[in-house]
Amino acid sequence: MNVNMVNPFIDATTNTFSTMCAVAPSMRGKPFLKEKGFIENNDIVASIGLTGSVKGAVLITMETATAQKVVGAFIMEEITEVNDDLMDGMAEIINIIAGAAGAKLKELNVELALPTVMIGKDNKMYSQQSAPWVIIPMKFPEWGEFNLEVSMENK
Amino acid sequence: MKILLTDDSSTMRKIQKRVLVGMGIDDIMEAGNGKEALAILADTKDFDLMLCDINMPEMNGMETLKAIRADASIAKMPIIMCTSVAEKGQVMEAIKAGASNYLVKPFQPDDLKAKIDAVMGK
Repeated sequence: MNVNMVNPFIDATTNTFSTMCAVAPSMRGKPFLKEKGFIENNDIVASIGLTGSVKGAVLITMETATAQKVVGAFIMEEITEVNDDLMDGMAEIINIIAGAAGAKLKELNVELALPTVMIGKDNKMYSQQSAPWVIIPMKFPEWGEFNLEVSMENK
Repeated sequence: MKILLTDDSSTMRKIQKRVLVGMGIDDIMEAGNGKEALAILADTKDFDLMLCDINMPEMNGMETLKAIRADASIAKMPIIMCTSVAEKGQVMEAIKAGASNYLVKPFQPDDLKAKIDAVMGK
């Protein structure tokens, strides 16, 4: 994955949170690569598969408290527990991010699978995809940190 | 005005519903996918407008749009397609299949209001 393919996901993430949650996240470090194997995630992982002329996935992962703030702003209601709104909201947010990023990758035909949200302490992902994951560390001004992670290659 | 909201995301329906209620529209029914929407439309045909997501399980928005346009009893209902896939081909496909307009996510409340006003000729 080259940088030209990563930037649309960063732009889409910033734009989605700015538009739907009225808060602009920023990067908190340089993106780095993670090859095959275990990848440690935060409490909540919202992911969506990318198909069409590519194969891969994009995900966001963050602590539960951060996700509650994010989805609370998304639906304009306070969320204080792990409930349907929290999980559904995270799914919809990653769906919007992936769709917006795919639209920016004009030379590719990026189609979306249905999103999945997982929650649990100390969860790890095991990747066998041939394309490495690009991990993009990001943060909200007041709600905490999150990672945007993308793995994508042409079919 | 009577509106049918169709989106597999309950939070997205909640967001759209809040905008509609803010516009003074409170006659709103909800469906979680195309099959549910068609089941509602089998009984209730007097909707003034439908908002329909594209990427849904069971029956997606494009299939739903085509089924509605093929049913003479509801074929003329205005439909705004809501999509997170701002891919030109898909939007064009929806317009060709009879979508009245489309709304690209992410959106702000005013974007949704403007699309509804445009479709309803306000």
